[in-house]
Amino acid sequence: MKKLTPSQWLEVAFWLTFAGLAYVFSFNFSRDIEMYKFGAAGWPRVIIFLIIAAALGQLIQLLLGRGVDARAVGTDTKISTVDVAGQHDTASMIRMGLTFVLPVVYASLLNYTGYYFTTPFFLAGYLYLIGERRAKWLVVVPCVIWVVLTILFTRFLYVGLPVGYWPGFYDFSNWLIVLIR
Amino acid sequence: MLEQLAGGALTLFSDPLSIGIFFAGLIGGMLFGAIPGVNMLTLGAIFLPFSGILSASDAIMFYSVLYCSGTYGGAVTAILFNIPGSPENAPTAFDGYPMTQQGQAGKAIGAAVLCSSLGGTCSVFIMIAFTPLLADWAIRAFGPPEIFALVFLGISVASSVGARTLWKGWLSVLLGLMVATVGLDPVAGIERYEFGFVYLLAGIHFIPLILGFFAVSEVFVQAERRVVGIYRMHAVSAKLPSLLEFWRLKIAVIRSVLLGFFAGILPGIGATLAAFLSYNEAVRWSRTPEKFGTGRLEGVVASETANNAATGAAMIPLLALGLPGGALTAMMIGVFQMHDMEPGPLVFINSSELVFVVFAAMFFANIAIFVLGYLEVKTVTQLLRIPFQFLAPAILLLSTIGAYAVRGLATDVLVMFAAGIIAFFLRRSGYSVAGIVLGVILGRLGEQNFAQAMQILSYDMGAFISRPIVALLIGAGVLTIAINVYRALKGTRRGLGVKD
Repeated sequence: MKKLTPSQWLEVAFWLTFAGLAYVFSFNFSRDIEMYKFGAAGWPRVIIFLIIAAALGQLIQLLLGRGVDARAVGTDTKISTVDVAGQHDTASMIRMGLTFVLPVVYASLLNYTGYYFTTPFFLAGYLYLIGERRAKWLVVVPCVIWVVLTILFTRFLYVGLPVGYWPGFYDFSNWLIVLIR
Repeated sequence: MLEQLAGGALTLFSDPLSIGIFFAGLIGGMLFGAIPGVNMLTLGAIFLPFSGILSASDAIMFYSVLYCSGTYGGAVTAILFNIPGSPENAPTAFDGYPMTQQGQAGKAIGAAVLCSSLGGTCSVFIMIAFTPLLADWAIRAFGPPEIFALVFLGISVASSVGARTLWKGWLSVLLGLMVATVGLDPVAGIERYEFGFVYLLAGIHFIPLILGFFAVSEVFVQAERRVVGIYRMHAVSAKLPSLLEFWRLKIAVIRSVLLGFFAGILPGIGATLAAFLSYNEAVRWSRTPEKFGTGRLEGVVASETANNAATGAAMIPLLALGLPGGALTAMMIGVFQMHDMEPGPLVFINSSELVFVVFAAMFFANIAIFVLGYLEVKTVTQLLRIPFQFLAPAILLLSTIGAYAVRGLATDVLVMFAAGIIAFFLRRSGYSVAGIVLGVILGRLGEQNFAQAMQILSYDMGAFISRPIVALLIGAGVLTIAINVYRALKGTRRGLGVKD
C-alpha cells in the first residue's frame, strides 16, 4: 500500500465532494415526468455515481501504487509543465495570478464599459503581465490588434460587440461604430 | 452517371456568374471557417436573403461549396493556435497543436489539407453512386436506440484520449457529461442545476467552453512559461508530409472516410460527431494509443478526413428525403423553398440538372481545397514566427469576440475565461480537456436519444439490446471499457498523452 501525498487526497476529496453536492442539488429537480419513467434526475444521477466510481478507482490505483507517476510518462510538453510548476517564486506566483484575474475583470467589465473602450487597456495590461516592458510595443501592439480585429468584425462581418451601458461608454462605443461603418 | 456529372460540371463552368459564386463559397468558407466567432453558418445566414435572386442551382451550389470549404477552414487555426474554427475541428487540435509545438505545423496542415480534400472527394463519389439506397437504409436502420449506442461507444473510447490515467480520463469525460446536464432537461424542459441564473437555463454553450479549454488555457500555459522565464518559441516548418507517411495511414483514411460518411448520413449527427468518433476509433485501433494527444499525424488525419467525408454524406438525406442533418443543410431546405422546390426523391426526376451541378461543385470544391490549402501551408505557418507576447493578446481577443458572437452574451466570455483557468489546472493535474469537450458534446445527444429509445421500446431493455446494431455498438463499447479497466488494474497502462 502506497502512502498518498496531500494533493492526491485532495483530488479524490474534490471529486467525492463534487459528486455529493451534485447529488444533493439533484433533488431540486427530482420530479416525475409523466411521459418518462426515469425523470429529470435519472441521467445526472447515473453520471454522479459513475464519478464516484471513477474517483474511487483512481484512489485504489494510487493506493496500490499502480498510478502512473507524473514524471514517468507522457510527452516533453507535459514534463515541462510539471517543471514549470516547481519554478514559481512569490513574485511570479502573483504575476501568474494576475494573468488569470485580468481576463476575468475584462470579461466582467464588458457589459458596463463595452468592448470598444476596454479592450486596448486589457491588451496592454496583458502584454505587460507576460513580460513586455518596452513602452513602444506596449502601445503599438494593442492598438494594431484592436484596430485590425475591430474593423474586421465591425465593418466587414457585422458582428455585434458589447457597447456597455454606463453613460459615456455607451455613447463612445456607438460613435465609434458609426465611424467604422 | 458520369455523363450527368460531366454535364453538371459543364453547366457550372460555362457561366461566369456560377464560377464567381463557386469561388465566393470556396474562399468565404475557408475564411469564415478559420475565424473563431464566425463560421460557415454566419456566411450562410448572411447569404440567405441574396440566394432568392440567384438561380436555384447557383444558390444550392453556393451552400454545397461553403459546406465543404467551411468544414476544412477551421483546421488551420486549430493546428496553429489551438483555436478550432468550428466544433468539428476540435479533435484536429488534439494532435495538430502538439505537432505545431514540435515544429511540424506544415506537416499537420498539409495532412489536414490532403485529408479534407480526400475525405470530401470520396464522399462525393459515394454520394453520387448510392444516394437513394443509402438514405433509405440509414433513416430506417438508425433510430434513437442506435444513435444512443453510437454515443455510448464514443464515450467509452473518449476516456482514453489525452489523460494521464484511465480514471482521470473517465473523470474528464464524466465532468463533460455533467456539464451537459446544466439547463433544461431534453424530455420535459425541467430546469437542472440553474441555481436561479437565467443564463444557465439554456445550458452552457460548448463554443465558449471549447475556446476556453483550448485557446485560453494554452495562452495561460505559455504565459506561465514566460513568467518563470523558460519560454521557447516553436520551431517553424512548412514541410509537408511525405507520400510514404500517408501510405502508412491508408487504413486510418479509409476507416475515417467510412465513419465520417456514415455519421454524416444520420440526421443530427453531422460533421462534429463524425470527427470525434473517427478520432476515437483511431485511438482504439492504434497499437500505441498512448501517443495520441502528443502530436500524432494519424490524429489529424482521422479527424479531418471524417469531418469532410460527412459533408457529402449530409447531402444524401437532404436530397433524397428532404431531411436536413444540420444547420447548414436546414438553410439549404430554405433555399429550395425560396425557389418553390421541395427536396426529396422527386428532385432527382424533376431537377436532375441541379442535383448534378451540386455533385460537380462539391467534387471541384474538394479538389480546390487541396490546391488552395497547399498555398496556405506555405504562407500561414509563417504566423508562428510572431513572438508569443504579441500573439497571445490577439488570441485572447479573437477568442473573446468568438465567445461573445455566439449568443451576444458577455457571460459567455466570462465562462470562456473561467473554462480556461479550470482547464489550466486540469491539464496540469493530468486530466483531459479533450475528454471534457467530448463529454459535453455527446452528453446531451446521448440523454435525448436514450430517453426517446426508452419511450419507443416501453423501457424494455431486452428489446433494446436485441437490436442488432445496438448490440454490436454496445458490445464494442463494453469491451473497450473492460480492456481499459483490466489494463489499469494490472498497471500495464502507461498513461495516455497529456495535452499540454
